[in-house]
Amino acid sequence: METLSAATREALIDLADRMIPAEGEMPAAGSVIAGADLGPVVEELPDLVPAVEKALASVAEVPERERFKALAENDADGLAAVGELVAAAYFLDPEISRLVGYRRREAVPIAVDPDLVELTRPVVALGFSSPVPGTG
Amino acid sequence: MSETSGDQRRAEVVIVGAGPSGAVVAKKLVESGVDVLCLEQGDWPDYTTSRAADERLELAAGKHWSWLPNVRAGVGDYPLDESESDVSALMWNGVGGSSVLYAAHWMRNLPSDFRVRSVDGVGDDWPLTYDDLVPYYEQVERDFGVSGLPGDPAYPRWDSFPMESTPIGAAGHRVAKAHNELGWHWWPSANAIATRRYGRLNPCVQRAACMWSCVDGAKASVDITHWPDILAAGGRLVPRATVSRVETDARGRASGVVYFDAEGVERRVEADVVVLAANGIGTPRILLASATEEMPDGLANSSGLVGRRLMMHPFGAVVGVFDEDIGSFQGVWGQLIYSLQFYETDESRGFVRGAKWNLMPTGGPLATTRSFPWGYDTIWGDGFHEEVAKRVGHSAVWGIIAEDLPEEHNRVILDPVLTDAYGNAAPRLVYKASENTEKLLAFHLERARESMEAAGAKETIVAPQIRETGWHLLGTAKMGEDPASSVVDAEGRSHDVPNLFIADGSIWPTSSGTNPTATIAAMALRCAEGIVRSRNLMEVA
Repeated sequence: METLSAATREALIDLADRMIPAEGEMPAAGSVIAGADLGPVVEELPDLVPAVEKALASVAEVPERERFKALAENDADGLAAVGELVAAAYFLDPEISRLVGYRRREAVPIAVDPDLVELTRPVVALGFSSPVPGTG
Repeated sequence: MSETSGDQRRAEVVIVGAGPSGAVVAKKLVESGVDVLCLEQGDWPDYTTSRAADERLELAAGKHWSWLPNVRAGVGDYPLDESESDVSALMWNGVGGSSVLYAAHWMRNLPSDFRVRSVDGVGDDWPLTYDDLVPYYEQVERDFGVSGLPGDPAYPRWDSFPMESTPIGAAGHRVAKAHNELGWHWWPSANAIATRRYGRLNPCVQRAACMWSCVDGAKASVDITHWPDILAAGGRLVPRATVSRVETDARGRASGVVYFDAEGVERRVEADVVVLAANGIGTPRILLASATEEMPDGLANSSGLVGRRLMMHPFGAVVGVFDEDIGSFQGVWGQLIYSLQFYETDESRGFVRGAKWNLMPTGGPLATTRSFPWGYDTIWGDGFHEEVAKRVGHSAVWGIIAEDLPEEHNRVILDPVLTDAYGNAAPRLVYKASENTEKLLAFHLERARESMEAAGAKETIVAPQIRETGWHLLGTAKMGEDPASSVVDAEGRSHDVPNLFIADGSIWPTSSGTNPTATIAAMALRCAEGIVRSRNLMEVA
């Protein structure tokens, strides 16, 4: 399985902080990624690893604080790959899930709407017709 | 579910493909006492690997349960060369076919879809009418398990559903009321999703995850609704059997098929009848690959139309963002409501034909960071959290399925270089959306924006056009009455090879603007009836 190298993870942290900065009670992504198990993300999205490595390599010579801007201006695909990995790791974090109010799709028993006949009355009144003679 | 064992060298009817059309044909034939063997290139879906019920759902969609065979690269997937196509083809190769991943929108074609040439002067009429197909629609709706509300004035003779309609949710209510005020059509959606226990289906639990597989057994995919009964009735199914060609005898009758089994061993099945149900790309691929010295352009191709007239329903989307929480990551996905307000031609719009709209949820937080449907203005940086909070639970999206017209230059051909794991030529898609389609989409996107605004959306976003929208693979083995201008007749029988049938969406003369599974299934049932009826008169090899 593809894995992120320590150097890649290190390079991601500052970039992640700029992509998902701290705000209110929401922490920045860098601090989450620094301690996160990225295994589940990489397991589900193995194709992301080379794309992220490539994107980071393309800005390796750019000062750290300028890398987000450089990717945004010059490498939309690279930024999308980095963004996918950063956001996936961020929103998988249990504490972030709690703060956002979304963890998974829960099982919600289905109930039939009682008002559909009434609600569709104006549509029935439209009396749609077909351009095909003899139908509609 | 285990593979069928025993002798697989002979069958009365061999079916290629275990998706919706293959399953419908197999069910009808087995019920009629016909000896059936189905060869399916993929395997049974392994729902234990699905992430639909856990926190990885939106990640897993990116690879293992991807709609793109080139991304998934799983068992049964052949590579696709799409370098000359505006749209990427989406499919699931395995038992159940694309019903494993479809959103289960269950739309009949409208009466005008069968009369496009007569009504609008473009495309072709089908060699049958809506009324001809109604009894078949009714049967497959019972067999799949469809929920809905009868009475939509856009559809004649759609008088009942096996189950009550799925709930339309807060988003559906909001947009429905807006359409009532606008005087625009809408209707609670028909979905192949159970709202109560129905046959092998469980009631839906509203995970809004249909398109990443249903782990709750509530969505009518044919691996659940059809194949267990077919196998119990004596039908045979061989998964991981990749058909490379149809064989013919000296008189040009189909004599069987050649396939590679799971171990890569080339095998042969003799059959009285061959039915292709391998979708709008797989079916022409097999026909073209079955070329012989006598038929250098491929099997059943005296018209020259095999592979041509590919239609894939270019897709548009408009998001509405609302102040209120409209619960947009749970519910039926599926569709909440649909609209056919702008389905028929209005010449003043500058294009012909139209589109069906389906209102759907938008997903969880990770989905809100992606460019589709949210646009290329990135969400990253200052304001990220505010934007996510604004979107999650507060948004819904109109999906717009555009009818595209049949054009012979849009086609499936055999790639001269790319092959699958067994050395079979891979398909290459050549597809470009027409000017009519571009005008059609532009008009519909603006009207959908007006719909969202009327519903109270504080922000609307027209999604960027993306490649990954080719859900509906149609038109590449056209049905018609004239052998010079069509590949098969109105029951899917080849004009050239009388014991060869095509049961999938390949045979559509025009694409309609609706989700095609209902009509593919109804046509497959009609095809199967034709086989049963002519069984004793069939000219076999």
